[in-house]
Amino acid sequence: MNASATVRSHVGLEIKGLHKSYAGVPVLKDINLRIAPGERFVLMGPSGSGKSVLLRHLIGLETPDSGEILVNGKSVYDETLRVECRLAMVFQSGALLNSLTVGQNVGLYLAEHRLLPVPDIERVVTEKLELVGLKGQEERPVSDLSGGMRKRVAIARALVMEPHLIFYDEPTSELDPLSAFTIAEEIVQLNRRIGTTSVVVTHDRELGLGIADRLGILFDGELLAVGTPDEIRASRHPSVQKLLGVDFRLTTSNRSPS
Amino acid sequence: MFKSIGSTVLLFLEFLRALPRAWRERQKIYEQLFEIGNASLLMACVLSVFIGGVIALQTGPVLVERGLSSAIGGLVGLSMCKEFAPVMMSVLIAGRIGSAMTAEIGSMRVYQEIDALRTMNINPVHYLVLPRLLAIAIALPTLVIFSVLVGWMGGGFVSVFNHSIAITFEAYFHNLREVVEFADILNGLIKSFVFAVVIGLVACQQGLMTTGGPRGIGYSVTRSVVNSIVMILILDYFLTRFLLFMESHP
Repeated sequence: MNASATVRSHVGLEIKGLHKSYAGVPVLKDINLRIAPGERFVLMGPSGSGKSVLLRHLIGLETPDSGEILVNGKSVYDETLRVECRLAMVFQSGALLNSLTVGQNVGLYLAEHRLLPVPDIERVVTEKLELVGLKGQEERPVSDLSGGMRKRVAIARALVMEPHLIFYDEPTSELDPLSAFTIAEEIVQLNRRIGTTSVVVTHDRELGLGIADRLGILFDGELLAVGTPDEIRASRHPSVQKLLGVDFRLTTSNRSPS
Repeated sequence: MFKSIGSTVLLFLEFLRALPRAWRERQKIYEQLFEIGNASLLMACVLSVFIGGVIALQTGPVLVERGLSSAIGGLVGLSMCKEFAPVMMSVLIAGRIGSAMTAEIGSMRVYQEIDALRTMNINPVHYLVLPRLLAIAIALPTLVIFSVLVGWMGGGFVSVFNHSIAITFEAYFHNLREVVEFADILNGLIKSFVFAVVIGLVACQQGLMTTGGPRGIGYSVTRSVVNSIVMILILDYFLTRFLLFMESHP
């Protein structure tokens, strides 16, 4: 597994002309995007804008009506891709297997693919749990965990894969500010430490603007703007301004002097 | 309906392709076997003793009236191993185990656990379907053997202790041994094996197709049980005809 560490930062993502409709209602409209290897890309948008649907396409859980998703030039639906690149996803709900313990969940990928002997899997699980602040929780049933802990276990489970590309779906939703901050910091640290290309979907603008190298603003299934946090803040697009709360800030700043 | 049939056939083909991994998944198969046995053994015992008893009770007095009391053992013996044990145990397993399988896989689907498996490149058919289907295919015929034995005992007790029949245990089992052949037991085992595969496939397919939250899980469980029972009864007729044909053309 360590050999793959050298290629980790060379995995990029490209979306070409992606369309998706459900029951005739378009959910994604002509999405075109390129995410560079090692980049932290944040996809922001209001609820129902199609962020999670797009994310499910990016990891190959949904098939588009038209368009392509390429990881290092290979379709995400190509079975050989998963041999060359490891793609991991942290689900909004954690999506932990409730019948297993925390340790079994975290070590599932290694155990199922028989990548390491059992003692080594246990060591890796302990390491990753320590990394997300859950040391010593291996034997705990996941049904006992709080929302924040479930998310952290889900991150540990993704880290075990040593992914080339990691997708986070609303990683800080339903979390208290402190847990949200810890997770945001973990996403950044992980990206810096091992150079994993990260795609984060969120409607939390603090998180989005705080951790992104570049952001994309998705509104009603359309990618309205793509750029660095500063470029996005400077955008004149009314929907982007609305999403970033420019109106709100102007109102409060107008009040302050009086 | 056609979508459901199509996806069940596809699931079966995928299961067949996954069969070489069975040894690798043995730990999960043991766990499933333990769960199936634990959940159904007592119920199977109670059902079987009463089924055997009822067959004896319904047929015994009529046979005694016609001077055929010695045929009760054979009648109970054949009915149990060729028809009642495989069908009734299959119905029991469809309700008790098939429904639980659908609920478990269905909730895993609704709560994105199956998506999580896919993102880890773990095939849900290998991880979930293969051990469950193999376990049910081993457990049901085993349960049928158990049910046949207990049913024979139930029939025996009624034949001995019911005053309108009142034959001896010896006469009952003597006739049973004379009439029932190994081929008859095998007949029931073949049926139960086919039913087991159907129950497992329908349960897993319905679970994997579940959508729409907790209500969707409820619908899937209902469909799984109803479809399994309907399939068992329909297949029972055709399998019986096929097995009778094989018996007459050895």
